[in-house]
Amino acid sequence: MTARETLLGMLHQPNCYTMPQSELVPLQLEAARELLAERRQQLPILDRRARETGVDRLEKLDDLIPLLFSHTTFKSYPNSFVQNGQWDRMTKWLGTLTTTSMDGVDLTQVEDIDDWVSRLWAAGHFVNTTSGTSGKVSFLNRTKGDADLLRRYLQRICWPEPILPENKHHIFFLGPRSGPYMLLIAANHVAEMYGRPDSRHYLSDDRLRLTDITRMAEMRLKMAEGRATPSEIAAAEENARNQGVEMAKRFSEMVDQIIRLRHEPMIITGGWLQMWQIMEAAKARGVPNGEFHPDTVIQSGGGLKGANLPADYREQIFEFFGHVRTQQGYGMSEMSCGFPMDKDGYYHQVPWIIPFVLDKEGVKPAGPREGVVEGRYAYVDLSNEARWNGLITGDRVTIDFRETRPETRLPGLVVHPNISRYANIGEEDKIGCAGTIDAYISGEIGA
Amino acid sequence: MTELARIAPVAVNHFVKGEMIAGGEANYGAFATPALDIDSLVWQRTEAGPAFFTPIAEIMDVLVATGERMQTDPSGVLTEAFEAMAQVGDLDRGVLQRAYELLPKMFARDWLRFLVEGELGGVDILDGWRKVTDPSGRTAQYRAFPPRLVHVLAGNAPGVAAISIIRGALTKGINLLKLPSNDLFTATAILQTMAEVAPGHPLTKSFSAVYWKGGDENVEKYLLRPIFFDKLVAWGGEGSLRSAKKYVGPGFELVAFDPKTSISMIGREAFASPETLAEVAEAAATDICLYDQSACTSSRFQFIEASMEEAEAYCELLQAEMGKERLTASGCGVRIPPALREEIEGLRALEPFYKVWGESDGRGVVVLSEDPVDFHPEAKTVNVVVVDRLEEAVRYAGVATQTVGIYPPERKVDLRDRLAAAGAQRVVTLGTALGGGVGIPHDGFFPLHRLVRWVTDEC
Repeated sequence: MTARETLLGMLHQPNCYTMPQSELVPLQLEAARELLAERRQQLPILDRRARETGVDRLEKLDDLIPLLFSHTTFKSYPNSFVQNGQWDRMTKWLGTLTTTSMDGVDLTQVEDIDDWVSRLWAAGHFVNTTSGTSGKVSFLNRTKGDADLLRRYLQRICWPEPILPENKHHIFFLGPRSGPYMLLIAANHVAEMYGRPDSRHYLSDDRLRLTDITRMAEMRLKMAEGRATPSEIAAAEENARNQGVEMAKRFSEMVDQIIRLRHEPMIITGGWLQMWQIMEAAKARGVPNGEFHPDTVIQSGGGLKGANLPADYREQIFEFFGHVRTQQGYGMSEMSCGFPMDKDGYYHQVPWIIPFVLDKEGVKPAGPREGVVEGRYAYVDLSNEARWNGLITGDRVTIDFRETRPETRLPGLVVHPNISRYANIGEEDKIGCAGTIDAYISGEIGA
Repeated sequence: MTELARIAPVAVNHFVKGEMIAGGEANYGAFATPALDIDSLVWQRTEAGPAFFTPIAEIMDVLVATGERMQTDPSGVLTEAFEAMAQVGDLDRGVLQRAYELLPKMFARDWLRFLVEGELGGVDILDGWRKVTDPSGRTAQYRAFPPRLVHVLAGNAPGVAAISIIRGALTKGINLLKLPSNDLFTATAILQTMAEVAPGHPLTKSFSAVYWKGGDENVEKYLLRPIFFDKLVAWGGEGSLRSAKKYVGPGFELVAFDPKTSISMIGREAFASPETLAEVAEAAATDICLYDQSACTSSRFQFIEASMEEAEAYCELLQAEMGKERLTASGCGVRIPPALREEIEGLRALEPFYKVWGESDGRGVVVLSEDPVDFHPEAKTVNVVVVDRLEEAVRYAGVATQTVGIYPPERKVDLRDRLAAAGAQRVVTLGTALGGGVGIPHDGFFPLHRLVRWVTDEC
């Protein structure tokens, strides 16, 4: 058994998320050595980075830092490939980041980026995607093995006292039914394993289409080149608003169903703001606190995206739902799975993911891997078969490397709940006269 | 804790109405400034500004003397500022040193006169009234009256501080300079030198230079008001412009040197001979590497009339030229940001659609392609794009385009009107993007003309 297999074999073992660093680190280091040697053979882009930065042998975990990518890597394809429909080039690009061959992908009559993604899935490349405000989509390739790991991870939810998949929950997912997003892929696994086949509800039954997102990028390009007309800009902004109106209507219907079924077990998945809105709507309809079934699961996470809620919004939400279960984690679409939250609100390390705390610039360790360290979060995920998954993020985190601490009942490495974002470059009051067209594209398109 | 935070903050002085102010009460982490007394930063409208009625000749005398003292720097003020900038600033030491050496020349009398003549059409109008008669026989007199200005400075090149002080002085108005965190020293050093050559002079009393964090409502909400100032003069910086917009309204105007980007256009003529191609590559590299490509004038995209093979030969020469040290460029003094490095690595893996020359070692990277890349090339990175005809490349110029460097110069005549129609502001012969902007329009207007207040006396 290799070190990597040992780490992956810990899933759902009693000590999976509570191992002390003294036991975990030697295994992780060994697994990282195995993996790096293999991936350097498979990925010229990683091999080149290793040669450029002079990383040859891993003596300690921090030696991996020069080999971390930023999220840019997974969207480094030229937009023109998408706009010109050059799917062969897109496939070649994804191939440079993928360990397995892209030869089997059928590209005949691919019309748009959603078709392309479907063809990738059909050929066993289970890519998931993310997108930022720029409208450029990142593509993160996964093998069948990577997809299976996520499914296995979700076979137990609500650690440390997990519930089992028994197809007895009503499913309420406050998003579209499907699409190549990590959140939607995971929600579908949960629905399939835990959900009653006759009662699965989604905010939208449509598949989430990447084309809608890339259209925004196209619009930006048109504006930059001065080809957009005022009515096209107005139409693009109105389209975004109309979608919002439609969603609000459907959301209200879902809230009615949730209230009606509140005495039966259900899994509600959505953002904190949506949970807050469910609470407010239910209260307005006279539903008192604590009426939900004790096997109900509230699955949420992420930030508030600018929404203005009181500081104790989570307490208020759980007071309303009552003695229900909760599944929360710290993670991102790029990671194979999230760090699960314990009952004290701290996020526990997954054994095959090596976390790093870097300085603000994301270059050097913020401190030795001991005690409590604050800085920019980065990680190497040793599980991924399809790609080299070492990434520097924009999150500012506090990580406690100690085996035990007074704040938590469970031992092991934890991430503190106080996660925030680093300011982007350019928000630091350094002023220069150079700029881009982005400064000239304002309004909802440019936001 | 980062390494930076463990070092004691660098002391930054303020300059308020002719006096240097020291003190580190306001700690910003990497640096500390004196506490800000916002009352001291305004000049009440109940009184005229200190230099409103000082003759322009006398203003110029003080500026010329300031420049001469900057040249010799007997009290070491400028040297000190240079050392502080070299420690904390973003520019390479050599580039910064040469940029500092150029500063005193900007204060030469012939340049001051050229500036005023060019941007206002004469010096007379700063001291008195110019008379005109309209076709109906009605007469009017008008004058460039001293304004009340807040300047939000950019810090990517020290010349910004110098030209802002020069123009501010030539208006005879009052000038509050808001320092950027990437140049906390140059403006103050120049003003201190001015105070040494003309202590207590109305001109030195017309200037303040202080730091507050851009967007700080506790300061901007109270200072940026028409009861105190007429105009906000902002250099680039999308963030600072957006913040400034909040305060612009009747009686408080924005004069914006917008954030800009620059490009080059290279005609087929470059391939006339190997010698010509080498000269073109050198000129192109000069325009790209201005202030290690941190300026609005620095070229980032080059459109070239060539076959792929010809373009490859050019790119190789160009990358070699970009590694050379120049007046405003280091040999290898810039670090490529990680995100950009990964964009480049992504394209490097896409041969033959993209070809990349150079490493991320600061000596310059050239990316050759058929379409412009999606990212903003910086830190000595240029995208060479092959086109059949330069006229086709005009569509890549827009409202964000400042300078377009063209080779050969004869092609400018055909291209300049098309470029202007697309939104570009400035056409130059390839290799000469540095300089200019004084006594002629800059960023689409005559700056001094925009800074002053035009008042009339009619009958």
